[in-house]
Amino acid sequence: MVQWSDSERKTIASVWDKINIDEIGPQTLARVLVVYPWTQRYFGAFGDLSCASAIMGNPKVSEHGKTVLKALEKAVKNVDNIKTTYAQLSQLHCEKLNVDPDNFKLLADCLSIVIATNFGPAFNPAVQSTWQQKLLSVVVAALTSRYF
Amino acid sequence: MVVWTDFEKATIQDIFAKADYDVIGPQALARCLIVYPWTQRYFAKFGNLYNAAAILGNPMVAAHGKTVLRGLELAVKNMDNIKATYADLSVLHSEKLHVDPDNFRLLADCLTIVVAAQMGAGFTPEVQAAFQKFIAVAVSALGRQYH
Repeated sequence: MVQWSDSERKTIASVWDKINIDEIGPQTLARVLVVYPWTQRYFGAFGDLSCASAIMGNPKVSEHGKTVLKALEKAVKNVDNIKTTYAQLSQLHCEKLNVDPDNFKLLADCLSIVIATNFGPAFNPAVQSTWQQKLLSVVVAALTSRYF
Repeated sequence: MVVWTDFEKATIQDIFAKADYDVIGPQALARCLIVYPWTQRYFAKFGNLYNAAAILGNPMVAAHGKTVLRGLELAVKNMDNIKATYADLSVLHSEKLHVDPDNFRLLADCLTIVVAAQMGAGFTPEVQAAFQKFIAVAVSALGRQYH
């Protein structure tokens, strides 16, 4: 089981407190679709994804970005139990959505970048260690855990 | 051969023209050593790397961070020829320094975060795409002469 120190728990809570899901979610998903264009294949029903500005203005992308970040909140509020918390989501992504699990890492990377652009130097190395290297890695692993 | 759009070329030149190498280089390398602690194995001679504060204040880390960024500048100045430009550096990292090429990607990721934190909203998705493409090419070229 993943062990979290008190300071890591505080860091995660404090980063999450400052995150506006309605902004960060859409920005993150839009970036994934722009920077890693092959991910657009999962969103055939989303309408116009023909260029960066279309993606960034697309309301379905925006909605789905918020959905993804709301799901991340479950991990943030259950850090001691992320694998179980995400068991069903993992099955959903594998069996129903057929998402290649490599893409989880891409989304995690874009989220870290969005946080860095929004927080600036406050996203210091210690925060990056806890948030990106540890929390997001655990999340990605949990999402991959029910794949076979 | 890698094809760069005008936007990509202009973006990369612009980022590096405005970057303070003396700040960005040290920050990126320090982050790498802190966030991916196994990378410290390559810097045993650098003295105190005991914790984040020590790493961030370590003058050898800072100096080496600047060296790395100056190495990256070579790619910025020769975007149409990064593989050839980095051939010697690649041989050096493989045969002399014995650096696992996975680490180039880790340092590249840390550099991306440092640049993103500096540029804030200016690090738009399109700018990110151009920057990550450039970095990916540099990382690939550095690994190219390994066998």
